[in-house]
Amino acid sequence: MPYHVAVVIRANPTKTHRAVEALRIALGLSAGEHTVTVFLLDQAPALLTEDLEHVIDADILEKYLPSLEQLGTPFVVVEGTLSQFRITPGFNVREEQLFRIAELIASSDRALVFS
Amino acid sequence: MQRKKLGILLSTPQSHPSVETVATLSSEALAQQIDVYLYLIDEGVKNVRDPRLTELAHRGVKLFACAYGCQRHGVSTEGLDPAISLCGLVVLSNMVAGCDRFLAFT
Repeated sequence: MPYHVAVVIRANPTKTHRAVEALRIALGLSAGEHTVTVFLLDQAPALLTEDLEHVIDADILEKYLPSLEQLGTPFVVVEGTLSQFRITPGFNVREEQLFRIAELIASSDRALVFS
Repeated sequence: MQRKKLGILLSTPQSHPSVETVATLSSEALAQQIDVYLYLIDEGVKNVRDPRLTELAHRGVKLFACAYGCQRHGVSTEGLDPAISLCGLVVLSNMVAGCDRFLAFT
């Protein structure tokens, strides 16, 4: 049975490898029958920026990003994020207010939180 | 009646308290006749030789370890307990789909 899966990433990609690993897991789940939405909170939107120099495991991340873009995997970020981070064009990113993000995560069938 | 299925994802190493929580939770679920599927990912693969988890595998927990994670974290798979299956994210995807409850300890 396909589920709506929320992958929430709060881990700072410049401090821990866990953020990139979380995105790999999200991609793996997206490739199946599930609908996956990735929530990038705090510094996690850095995963989708043009400058990945300080991102840990950036070489691995660069292998996965084209697939996430091609699959149109939905990314949700907090309102105001797009003016703070230079997100690479092509990704399916939308801003939501924090309370709405909480609602979306709460309404998902499964939630995986990486903080 | 079909048994209930509990899926658990563990991504933390042995030093993290989540490992003990997962072991206790899995043991209790087994005692209640619930099928348990435990997937070790990321640093969670460092637990593949943790007796708390291998013992559970011999009691009936279906224990999976991410092959990629083992490679990334330098966890040897040589001589691995045959009760543990090395696998990829497809198995995790199937667990998410097939279990009545799914918990992530990440």
